[in-house]
Amino acid sequence: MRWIGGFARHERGPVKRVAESNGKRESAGSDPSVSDSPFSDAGALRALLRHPGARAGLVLLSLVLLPALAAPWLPLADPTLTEPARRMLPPLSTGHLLGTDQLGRDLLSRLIWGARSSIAVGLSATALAALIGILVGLLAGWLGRAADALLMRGIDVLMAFPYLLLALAIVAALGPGLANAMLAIAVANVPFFARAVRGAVLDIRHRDYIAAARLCGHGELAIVRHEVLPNLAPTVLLLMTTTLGWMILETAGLSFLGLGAQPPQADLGSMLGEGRELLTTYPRVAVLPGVVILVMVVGINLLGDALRDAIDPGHRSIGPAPRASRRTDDVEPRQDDGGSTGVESVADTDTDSRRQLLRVRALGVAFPTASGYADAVEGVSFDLGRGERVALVGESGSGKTLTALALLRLLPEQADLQGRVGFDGRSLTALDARGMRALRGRRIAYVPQEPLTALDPLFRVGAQLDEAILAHAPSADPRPRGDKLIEAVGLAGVPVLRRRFPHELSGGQRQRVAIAMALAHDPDLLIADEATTALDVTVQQEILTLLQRLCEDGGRSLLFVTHDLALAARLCRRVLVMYAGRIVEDAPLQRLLIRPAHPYTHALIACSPELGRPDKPLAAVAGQPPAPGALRQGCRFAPRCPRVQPICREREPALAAVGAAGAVDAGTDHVSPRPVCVPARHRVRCLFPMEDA
Amino acid sequence: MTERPLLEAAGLGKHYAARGGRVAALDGVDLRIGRCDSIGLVGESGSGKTTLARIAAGLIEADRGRLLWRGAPVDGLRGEARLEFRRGVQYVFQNPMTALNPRHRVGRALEWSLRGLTALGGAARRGRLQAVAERVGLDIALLQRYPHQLSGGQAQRVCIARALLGEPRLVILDEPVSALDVSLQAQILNLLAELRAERGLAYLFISHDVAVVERLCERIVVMRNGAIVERGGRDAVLRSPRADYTRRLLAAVPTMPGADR
Amino acid sequence: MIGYTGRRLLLLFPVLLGVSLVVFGVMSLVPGDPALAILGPYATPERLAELRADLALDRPWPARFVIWLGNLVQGDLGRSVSLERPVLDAVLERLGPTLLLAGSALSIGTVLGLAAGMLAALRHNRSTDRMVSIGVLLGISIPSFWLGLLLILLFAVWLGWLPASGMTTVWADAVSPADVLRHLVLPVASLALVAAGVIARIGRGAAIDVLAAEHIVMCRARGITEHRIVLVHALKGVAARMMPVIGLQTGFLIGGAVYIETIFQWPGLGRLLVDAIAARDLLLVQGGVLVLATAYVLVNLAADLLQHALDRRIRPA
Repeated sequence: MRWIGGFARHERGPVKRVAESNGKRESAGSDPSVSDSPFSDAGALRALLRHPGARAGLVLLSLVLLPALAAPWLPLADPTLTEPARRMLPPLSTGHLLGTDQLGRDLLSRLIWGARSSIAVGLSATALAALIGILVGLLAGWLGRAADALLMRGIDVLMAFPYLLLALAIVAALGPGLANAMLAIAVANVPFFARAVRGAVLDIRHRDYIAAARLCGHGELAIVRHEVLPNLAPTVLLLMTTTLGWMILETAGLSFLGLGAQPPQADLGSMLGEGRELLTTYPRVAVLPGVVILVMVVGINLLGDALRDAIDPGHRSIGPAPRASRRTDDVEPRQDDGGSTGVESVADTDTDSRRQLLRVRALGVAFPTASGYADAVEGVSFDLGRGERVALVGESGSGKTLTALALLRLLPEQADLQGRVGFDGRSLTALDARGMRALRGRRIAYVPQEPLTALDPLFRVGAQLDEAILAHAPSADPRPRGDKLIEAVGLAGVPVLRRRFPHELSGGQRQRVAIAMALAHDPDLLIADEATTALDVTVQQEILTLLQRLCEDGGRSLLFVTHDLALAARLCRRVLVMYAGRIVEDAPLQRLLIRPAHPYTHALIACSPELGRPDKPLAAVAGQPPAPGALRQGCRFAPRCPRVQPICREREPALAAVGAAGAVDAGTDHVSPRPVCVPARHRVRCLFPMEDA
Repeated sequence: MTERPLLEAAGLGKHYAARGGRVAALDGVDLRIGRCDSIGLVGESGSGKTTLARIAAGLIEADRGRLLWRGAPVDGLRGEARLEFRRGVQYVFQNPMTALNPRHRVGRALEWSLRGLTALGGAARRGRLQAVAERVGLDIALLQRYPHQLSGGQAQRVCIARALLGEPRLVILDEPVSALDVSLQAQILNLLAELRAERGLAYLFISHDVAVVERLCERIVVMRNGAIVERGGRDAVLRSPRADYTRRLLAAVPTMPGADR
Repeated sequence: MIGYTGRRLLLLFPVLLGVSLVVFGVMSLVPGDPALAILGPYATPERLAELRADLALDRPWPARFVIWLGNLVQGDLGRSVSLERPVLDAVLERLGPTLLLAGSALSIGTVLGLAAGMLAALRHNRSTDRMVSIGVLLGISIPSFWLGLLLILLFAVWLGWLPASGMTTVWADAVSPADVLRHLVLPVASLALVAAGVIARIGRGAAIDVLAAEHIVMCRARGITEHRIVLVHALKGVAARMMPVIGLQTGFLIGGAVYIETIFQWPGLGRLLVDAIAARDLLLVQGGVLVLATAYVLVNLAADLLQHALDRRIRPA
């Protein structure tokens, strides 16, 4: 396959992958027993065999492979037996299913035997190239320094030849013949293997598990054998599959030019070459070998793609078709944080809703999995007032970022979005794409977690800032406004800064630029998603101060998404706590910190280390959050809750005002909350909230 | 008379090639770690704390300075003495997922680690492995899993178990809880505190989170730009910092007002 | 930018030196007496002795390489035995048509491939994507020489629309551009379709990656229009990633041109090479390979420079 060149060269990499976003976003405990391991070989094989492409590939390949393997035992005519009297017999002649060629040889027999030698040559060339390539790549990647420089310059030189020319030159020197052609093709392919293996080794070499192996006193050879080689298997296997098809094509090509198989020996390429002379009169002699090559190589490539999908599920060549939205008959939320008024419109115009800037009702996000949709966010409802600063706090996997993205309808395509979002009296969920776009960046702005990946690495900061301004003010000159914004976020040296690329800035500078872009149109609502997590504490402090000032000045609302209660405390007066895709508590900050009503909130506070209190006992919560879709019944926190009651595992509580809970139930039989005197707007999702315990 | 320290570093320096010349990752750092010491290494990214930790563990070599293990230069250790150093100093990495080989079941990985450190026979090896796994709170069934089938907290327990296999004197912990959520972080912090108390381990604990360091360490070292700006007893450094930078760092730590009091 | 260009240009020399060394080395693989191999069995003893002296066969190979390199720098690639003229003249005369063929195929293949790849990525997992994927699969699996034969069969033999061969020279006054174009259609199509398949395949993957990147989501969050996101941000990202692929693809096209020129009797360097190999004209083979490899190195240099212009994070290896 001709694309392996691109694949192999990729390791030198146009894009240096930015370090994994940051530690805090690590995936929370998925249910490990159900996940198939891409690394366990049995799992990969199962995934491979389920792949439709792999099945099609296997069928095509066996169409050619089985007869070729069985050739000696099949009742076939001698492929080299010439019978001039019986030349050019048409297909279906007696004894010659596909007819004969220009020398009266049986075409079917020649095709099968030809395929046999093509496959044999392709396989040997692949194995040879892989062997040498692995050795070179391993030496270069593992030894590094001088050995690496020397070996890779050599590989560079080999790659400086147009692929086929190197093979041609070698055959020209060694003389024509199938073995020489095989050798030439193998040599020409060594660079691809060497580069890919070196790239993989370089990556592995800097992994912590290699350091860990050194720490355990193992020698270099043992580390290579035990830790490196097993991790090379996917790379090499993948490359071998992809190269195999390519090598079969190229050896056929050399034979086609008369440089490979020499008569009377024949492979598919040389048959094609001989048949070329008869193209106008007897096209089938040239066409049929091509068909066999095509079928075989398509089969191999299909298998290779399937293998890639099995090994590297992130890069599916073609995935499952997107399913129609789930539960189309059940658009009404099953349960709603808004309590008994769950079906109210988010766009209504009574005075209360005019005071609220953002109204979220029964928001849900689900992702398709092998076993149906899994809810990552479910039944999230809350209001956010004008000028109010609210924190959305949760651990990784709690659904807080998805909630934030869902508000702007920026979820990945396969995500299923439920519920309603009202903004300033309008329903966002009912808006069309154009209307939504007009709001984004103008009335609602988003400040992302990792500003390095959030800015386009290929454009200068100034151009991106101008673009953000022009997005909603197309006619104006964006520069004065842009300069003002840069100053407003506390960055100096405007002209220099404008000409910088994002990677030339520090983390704090980048985040300031991202904030400047978010402020471009003086938005009413700012959503900051872990906006300071990737930064050092002193820079974090500055950014928090900046955010606070920007919100206070403009009377702007803020939704501050974070995993850190202490950060929330720094900036917000009200906190929403999320757990396993749901809001479990909604309370004013002070109230939440002093008198949390949900056992999870209580645990979260109790297990956070605090500066100045080194002897505070950390009451760790056992276990870990459930994976999305793993729990279908009962309170999501029940499995970890120290105060769990049997009923908690059966009934899911609603998010209700503290003091009114207890008897409130989900789903069908709502119990009206009785009015009690609790501090304003403290809601909790618990059947047995911690009331002044 | 003071006891000879476990690990002693003097004048450590390390440079990296970077755009526009060489960058000092470490510049003349001294450090002494005695038996049962627990030293917190605090600093922001780029302060050189991880470089220092990796040099201390013998994972990378310093360009300048000396590193002594129980009085003997580490780079001169050979054979059994080298192995004794390897057993004596262990390391727990920040991200447990990249610290485990994805291709091996964790039980097998642990056994292989133990094979490198000791000459124990099969039965004794399995015995020690089980004891350690149990101690760090790992269900034996989890040992049959691949790393990606574990949660972050479980994987970090595996890494801690690996560090304990050779019965070390000093464990270097490089941001061991930074990749974990708070509720899991608390589990690991409690485990680390217990382990130190019951085994008399020395810790070199690296973290950007001062509150975490305060819990686990008796002495604190503050680093910035490859150099130590302040060091001293925990309370002295945190309550009355002398260096400007330490003061700024402490002021920037977000706190929860009035929580849980 | 200027510094980068300078460093890349400096890197050119060791690579070209290495290329000459390999070409020189490969020719010393020839079994037996090189002079005999070059001149053939009917050469007179005088000619053989003369050539042996020219090639300095009595000297050790490093000395021979230096002598050979010295001649090479002066443009002396030796004399072709089969054509009875200087190798360099013969090679340069045939270089133009090959560049025309490969260049046209590369441009068409790139435009076609990138468009198909982007389209497939934008319609990820929908029917367009599937159709592109099937086309790509055929493109990367089909032998280009066989595709050439099929095109001849269809358009030249059965339909009679286009000529299958007959181009003897491209630049002569007697040949009209329209005629060249007519002769160019089929060979370019055979090459371009295959190249488009490869480029579409990698382009699709690159576009899927780029379109899923966080900075694209953030562009949406800023209210930037979808067509601007695709045509400005995504396209530049994809183009930057595709530069090395396109550079590499040139190498495959030059290789493919060897078959295609043979099939369509195109008067290019590829066909010259095949003829030279058949005639055991080793010096001609050497010269042809060297010139094509140099051209390829320059194309890759251009691709790297373009990539750096698009993405400033890239530094020379």
